[in-house]
Amino acid sequence: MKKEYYYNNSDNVADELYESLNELLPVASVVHIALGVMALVLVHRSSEREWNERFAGLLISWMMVILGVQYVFSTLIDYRIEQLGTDTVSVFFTYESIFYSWMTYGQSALESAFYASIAILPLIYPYPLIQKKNVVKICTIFVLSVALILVPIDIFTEFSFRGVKYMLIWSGYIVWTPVYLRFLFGELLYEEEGARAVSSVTALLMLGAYGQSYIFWLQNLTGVSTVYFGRWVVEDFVAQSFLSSSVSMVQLALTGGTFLVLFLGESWRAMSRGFSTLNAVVSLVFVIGVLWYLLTLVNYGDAESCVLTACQAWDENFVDWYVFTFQVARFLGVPLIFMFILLNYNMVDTAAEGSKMITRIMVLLLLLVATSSLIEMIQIILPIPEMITSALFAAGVVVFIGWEERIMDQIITETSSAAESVKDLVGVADIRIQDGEYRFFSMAMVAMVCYALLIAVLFHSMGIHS
Amino acid sequence: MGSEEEEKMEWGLADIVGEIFSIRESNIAASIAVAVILISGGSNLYGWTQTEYAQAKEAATDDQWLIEFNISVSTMVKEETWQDEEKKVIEFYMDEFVFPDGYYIGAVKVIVKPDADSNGTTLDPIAQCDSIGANIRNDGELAAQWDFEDNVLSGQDSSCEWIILSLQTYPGYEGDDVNSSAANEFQALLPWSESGWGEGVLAVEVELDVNTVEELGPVTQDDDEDITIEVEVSGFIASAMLIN
Repeated sequence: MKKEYYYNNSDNVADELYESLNELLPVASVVHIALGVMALVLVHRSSEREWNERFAGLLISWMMVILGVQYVFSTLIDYRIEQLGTDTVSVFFTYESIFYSWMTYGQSALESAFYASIAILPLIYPYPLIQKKNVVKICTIFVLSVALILVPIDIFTEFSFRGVKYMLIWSGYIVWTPVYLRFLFGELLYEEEGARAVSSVTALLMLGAYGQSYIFWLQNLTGVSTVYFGRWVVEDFVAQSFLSSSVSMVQLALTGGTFLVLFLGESWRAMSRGFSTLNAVVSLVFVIGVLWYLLTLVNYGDAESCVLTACQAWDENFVDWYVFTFQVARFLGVPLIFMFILLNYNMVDTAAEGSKMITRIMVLLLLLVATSSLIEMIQIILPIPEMITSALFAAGVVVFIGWEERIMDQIITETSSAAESVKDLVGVADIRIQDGEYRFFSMAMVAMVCYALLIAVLFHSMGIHS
Repeated sequence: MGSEEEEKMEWGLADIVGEIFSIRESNIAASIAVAVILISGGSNLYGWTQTEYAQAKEAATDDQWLIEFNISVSTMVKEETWQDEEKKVIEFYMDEFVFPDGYYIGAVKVIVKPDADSNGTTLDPIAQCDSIGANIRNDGELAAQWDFEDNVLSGQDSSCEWIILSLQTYPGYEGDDVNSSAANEFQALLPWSESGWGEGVLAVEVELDVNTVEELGPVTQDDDEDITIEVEVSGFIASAMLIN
């Protein structure tokens, strides 16, 4: 059972830290669900696309929806902790009362569903490893089976095997990294036309799937991150098992190693072909990773205090840095990157009837939410009066409306198809997937989400941990 | 990579994986990446499984500790004269009580002592005991456990007995050794190392109501009383002893 830990800080500081900790959650849940639903509509209208493009688009859309629902539960938990945590020193004191609740079960169940879904994405896009005519059926059965087993087991084991659960996303590290290298070298050494579309979309997929981990790349690679795992063993209501935390050690290396591949690859390409936006993004993550490494060293005493003496609260500026980097990467970066992939890599038919309007809404929603959220984030660090931030936001809206047509044109016209490039360069099996199979997959995803929600509610009402 | 392959309806996994690893230079780069990941992962895994996990687990596991208190008592006495029906507040500045370094203020004991001669003397053999009421006032000047249920914050007496009041200042402190569950000595002692408790001003309110036999009182007119207020402040320093 969770015991009480003593934190050498005042109540007010802890409350302030917690308030800023998850400020983006409600916005993220709405954005993910809205973008996911709109992307689903677009994907279902894109019948002319390659099968793996369409299937990947469908999968990404569902991943957005599932993440959105998961963040709804996270928001509820966050709200509840805030309510409970007003007269205590640390949020961890209050966590017991909601740990075994439908909220935590729901969040975890949806997380399991997400991992079951994302596990198959590297197997089908951009270079499909499964080239069978029944690929959609195979993937549907895989996702359903994994979710069917993972959702209840995760709750039964009190979420103490998260590291094992996260192994599902290793498929991306294992598949996307060699695919990225294959097409990067193909472009730079063998002048393969269209190879850049594949390497760039692979890099973006990796940034979308692992961006929130990549910002810790240097401390993961050097092993400095393990200090946080030690702290979590002490702090967490139910600590991760030995197996789970040991598996996470390997994942740290995978995160650091694969990011290094991306960074070196993009740097090499920048030197030979010139600087690109993707190169800028990867470089930004590289710098953030170096800063995170240094800041972890600075806060090493606080991090290991739980193991050596008593848990020291984090420095307030360190928490702000965490919010600014990790939360922004997770809640804003992920939908931005995945939506960019959907629109820019020709996965959806934006020219189809009615699709242009939805695309326009998606783009504006993304840009406006990102702007307003970033302004909110800045307000955490700099106490700017609301009048000024409102004016900044209004200015942002005006700029986006003015540039909206240009942005849209760029997204719609300047697209490149990674699937077409793969087909031209290395060839893929000529597979025809019926519309009904995509609908079957969508139905399966609906069933999986319903199953996860039902499990959460039923397990709570039956009090399985009481 | 020609049109024949494009027309194939299904590809085997070996063909597909073969295509991914078809460029020698990219395979070398991938091999270097794998080597880096293996070295880093192996190092992380070794450190975690050999030492760090055990340390963290040990820190997360509670032991039983006996918390012993070394107690030091500091006393201050004030004596004043009260007139009949007079109410006075006597203040004691807590920083005037002297303790060794590192001691925390655990509790305050207030003893209100009426004049020893008030219950009859040779000059006034039938004099009666006066009524004395005493309170420890909570006017926000003293950091203490005012809601502690075993506090005795007010008392009254008219039989010349001492009135004894008590106030717990340090949370949970009752003077006796206690058992504690904590991961290490530091955490076991942490609840007993909060500064600030017992700081401020102790205000003791005393009211006198003189009882006198007017008809028979021969010599002395009993309309006042000398009252002594003694304050004992218990300071403590805690030490922890591992039980199991």
